[in-house]
Amino acid sequence: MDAHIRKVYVPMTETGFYILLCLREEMHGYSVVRRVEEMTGGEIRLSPGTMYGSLSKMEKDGLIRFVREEDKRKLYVITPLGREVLALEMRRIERLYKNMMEART
Amino acid sequence: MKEHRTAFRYFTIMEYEKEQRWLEERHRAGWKLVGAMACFYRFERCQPEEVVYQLDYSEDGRARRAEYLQLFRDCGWEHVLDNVGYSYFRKPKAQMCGDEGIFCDMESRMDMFRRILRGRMILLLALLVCLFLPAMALLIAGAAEEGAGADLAWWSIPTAAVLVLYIAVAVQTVMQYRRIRRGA
Repeated sequence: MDAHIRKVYVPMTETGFYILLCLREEMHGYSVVRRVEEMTGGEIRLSPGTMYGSLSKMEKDGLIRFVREEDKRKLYVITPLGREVLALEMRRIERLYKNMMEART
Repeated sequence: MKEHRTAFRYFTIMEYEKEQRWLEERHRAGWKLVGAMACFYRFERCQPEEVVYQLDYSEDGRARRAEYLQLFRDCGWEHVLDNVGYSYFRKPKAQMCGDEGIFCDMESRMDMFRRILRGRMILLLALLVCLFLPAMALLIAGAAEEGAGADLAWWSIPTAAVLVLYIAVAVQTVMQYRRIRRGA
């Protein structure tokens, strides 16, 4: 992983994190929007401009790749580089969570 | 017969939020946007309604139009038109739960701001150079011969006008940057 990817994506935005998390399965942008809404009990509704911008940036940086098209909707899936970034983020959030729980008790 | 009205309004590249508010005001007054060509806007009489207008500036979106517009449509945003690089979307407030926009975080609002700068600044700089180089050439020629001063005076009018516009846009750019940072 080069320095640019590390700088831009670690830590990443909530939107970016949920996109990578969802794209462990192939899906299109709008299914990510709906999936995230379900996962967060409707608390996070990703907007299309944010979604589109993140998808095209992540595709350019090689974190996700285009799979195929289905009625004008493009399906994407995470790449090995994307998984690496996601794993880094998960570790960071885990640490955050652990420290938060310690502070709580 | 549908009633139409054309309006002329000039917004600089950084005044997209002001433009959105203006279009929302028009719709609230019963005039919905149906067309735009640079600074000319065409409205059609409609039922007054609370509608949110949003502008995006996305070269990727324009290049992969079908996919881009489909995502917005899926999220309930109607694509109204494209004008000078911007895509115009709208959604009635009645269809929203709470406040909604086409961007949901500060980073993506900042990304759009950067795309406008990248997409537009090159053009603006080219225009500035095109006006300044002849002015400089005239100035140098003026030092060598009499009578070139009149040409210079004539040329300095558009150059000054462009300079004033540039300073205005530069100030707006800084203000817009700070507005996004503040999360307003």
